[in-house]
Amino acid sequence: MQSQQQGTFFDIYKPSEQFYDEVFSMDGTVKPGYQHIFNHFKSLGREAFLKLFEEAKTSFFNQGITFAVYSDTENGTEKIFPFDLFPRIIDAKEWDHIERGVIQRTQAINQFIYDIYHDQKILKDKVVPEALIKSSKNFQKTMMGFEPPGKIYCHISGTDIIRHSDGEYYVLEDNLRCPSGVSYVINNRIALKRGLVGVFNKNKIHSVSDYPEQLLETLQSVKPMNVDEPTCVVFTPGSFNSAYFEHAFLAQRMGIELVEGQDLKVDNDFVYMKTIRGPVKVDVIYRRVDDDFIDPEVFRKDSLLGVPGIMRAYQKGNVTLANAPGTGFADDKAVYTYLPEIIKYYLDEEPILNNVRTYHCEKEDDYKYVMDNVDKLVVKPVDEAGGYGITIGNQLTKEEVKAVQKRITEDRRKYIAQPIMSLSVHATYIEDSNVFEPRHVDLRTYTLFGDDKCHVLKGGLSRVALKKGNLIVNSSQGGGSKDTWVLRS
Amino acid sequence: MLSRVANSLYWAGRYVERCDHTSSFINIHYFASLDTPNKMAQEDEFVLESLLFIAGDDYQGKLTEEEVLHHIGFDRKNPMSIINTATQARINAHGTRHLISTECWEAFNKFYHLVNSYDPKVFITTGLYDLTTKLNGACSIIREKIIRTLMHDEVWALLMIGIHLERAFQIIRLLNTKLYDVGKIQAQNPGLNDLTYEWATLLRCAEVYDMSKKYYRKIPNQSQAIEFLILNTKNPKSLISNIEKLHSYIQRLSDKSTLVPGSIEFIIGKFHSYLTYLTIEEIENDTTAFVLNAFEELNKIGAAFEKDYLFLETVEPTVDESVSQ
Repeated sequence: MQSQQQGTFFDIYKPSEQFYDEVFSMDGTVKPGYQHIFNHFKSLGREAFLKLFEEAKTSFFNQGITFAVYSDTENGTEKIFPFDLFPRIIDAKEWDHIERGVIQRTQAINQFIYDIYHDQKILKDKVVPEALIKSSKNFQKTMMGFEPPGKIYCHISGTDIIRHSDGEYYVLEDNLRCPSGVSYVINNRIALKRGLVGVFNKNKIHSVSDYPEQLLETLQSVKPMNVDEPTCVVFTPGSFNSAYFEHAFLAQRMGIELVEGQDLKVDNDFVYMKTIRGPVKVDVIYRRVDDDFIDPEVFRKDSLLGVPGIMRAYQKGNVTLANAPGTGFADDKAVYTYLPEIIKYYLDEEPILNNVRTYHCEKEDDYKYVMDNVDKLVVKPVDEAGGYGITIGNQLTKEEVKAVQKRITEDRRKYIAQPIMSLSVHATYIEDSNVFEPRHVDLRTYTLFGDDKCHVLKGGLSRVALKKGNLIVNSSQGGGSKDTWVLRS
Repeated sequence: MLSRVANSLYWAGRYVERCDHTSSFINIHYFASLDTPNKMAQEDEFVLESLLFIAGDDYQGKLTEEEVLHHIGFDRKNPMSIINTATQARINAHGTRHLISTECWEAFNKFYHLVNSYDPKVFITTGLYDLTTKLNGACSIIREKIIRTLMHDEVWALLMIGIHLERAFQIIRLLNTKLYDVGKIQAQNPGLNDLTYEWATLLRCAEVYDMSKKYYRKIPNQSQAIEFLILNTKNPKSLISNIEKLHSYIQRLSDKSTLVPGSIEFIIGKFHSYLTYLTIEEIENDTTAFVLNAFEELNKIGAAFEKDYLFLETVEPTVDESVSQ
């Protein structure tokens, strides 16, 4: 083995026997699709690569794609979200499978939500347990009987997908409220295009830059009745929010206003924004504020950032909210486990993408199994986002196992468990060792569902767990991201 | 445009201009004092008081070079410090980034990081020239991006209103500081009339010294310096030029067909007319009174602008109201 200083970045790379490696075969050969980028990195000297790496970081820093380091707020220290220069590549055939799968899920979920807020046939037919829905804190009674424009609830959804050691794709979860991260997809691509000019020319890669236009078209397609040219806005909690960069980025790229609650008011059941020329009517709101906070008249009364009366305007059909309030019960991790049945029930189709086998702790048999096998399972609270509250069995001490068992027993409805899925690994540049090493990755896809079309962004966010052996890829847990190239057929 | 966003644009413009002027002033004033022909003006205490007069708030600390420079440069408790004005400029630009160009936002962001990543210890020892020169460059880039990468519409007009109103304030503040300095020198040196160096420094601080020499074909004296800084319509930094520009930007925003007494359009038009027919002799009859009146008029303009265009009710968030998925 050559020393790290003299050899290439890949000399000490060992393809995993345990996990699916996206880049290398077991014999160490590079998989089709990755040849150009691999050769490019190999041909780059360390100095040139590190220069590229620094330039990409500077580009992110200057664009303000950063987060504040809270331990040092006094001095305003900021860091960029870690970004890897080695893109994840998905060929056309695999992408077609993924795309058909997420469209199928989106359509089924949409029909499911409509049914739950109307006739509840799926509950009456006992395909999904009624208690599961009614006990969900994200089920909004106020939405019962209401019909949103085009009967669409989830205009924007994010589907988290992994590739298991069997080489198959599995859906880990659906994000149906305010899925974030799409701005990183676009900015990762911008950074890579600047740095890897020669490689882009050699691959036929789908563009991701039209996402904001597609999003705007989606929003416009669900305008209220009797509106010709809708005024659309992005509704943000404000600049202190961790996803504010994305809110501003999307508003800028769509060429529409970025509003906060204080900018909006409801008058005679219509929503207006306060401008320097007086009130201007708003027709479609892409809201990045959670249900609980959008209207203190209906939801949390202590919300200062909501807009009193906005739900009245919505339910009168005078404004469209995207996503619709009350979609959260459908991305509950317990409801997720019924997705194969939900797809069959509404679409009469077999699920295209796999679901992970899931144990419901509220079911007696499942509960017993989970209690006996905590050390072999991933235990997840059903209503948390951002990777919080997740425990991975084989990383727990005996005391920690006991603590998890206690938590589950105290609130069985709150927890589900799944086998420890072997997230695939991808060659990732590790600054500390100055070489590429295998790291676990997942993939978040973004689906837009409008009145007349369903569009899946041909790319997505590949999140990478930078810590060796870590399976949690969320940025809040120290994860980074990769550009995702979907190859044209 | 949203009133809240208009407010942010206006203040982004004001803060970047304020930071630029503070940087220019301490740079030029400090280095000019090192070899001023006037002995008193070379004294540490005199120089530091003068720096504080324009660039600090109500300073109560020790009058040592290190402490004063820290207060002006990096004291987060001083709202006028360079670090705070740069931070405020960026915070306000941040709230408008969906409206301003990517290039313009990146210029604001780089400008902020230039200050934020600068070692305060280096600044107070050897870095004064380095940082303030770089900051002047960064502010110029921001203004250039505002002019070249934005549509010349409301967004642009609001940024420019912030810049020119702040610049007008700073010009009057500069003159006030110099009058204060000159007053102190003359009090200690009765009969001393040749203060050309001090007035030249004033013009240098406003970055108009070379222009003024060309205009008068000699080094300007006190009257000429004040006239050039206040009344010269060809000097882009003069008070009258800034008021003229403010007037034109306000007119771009305005949708009023008639002038309403008390409105921003009315107040600014009136002040512009006053300056147009003012002579240097009238100013010099009582320069201090003129300065005070100018401050009052500029404050009226600022208040009327905020009343007519930026009326806001703000709420402070108590909780993060969106869970990132």
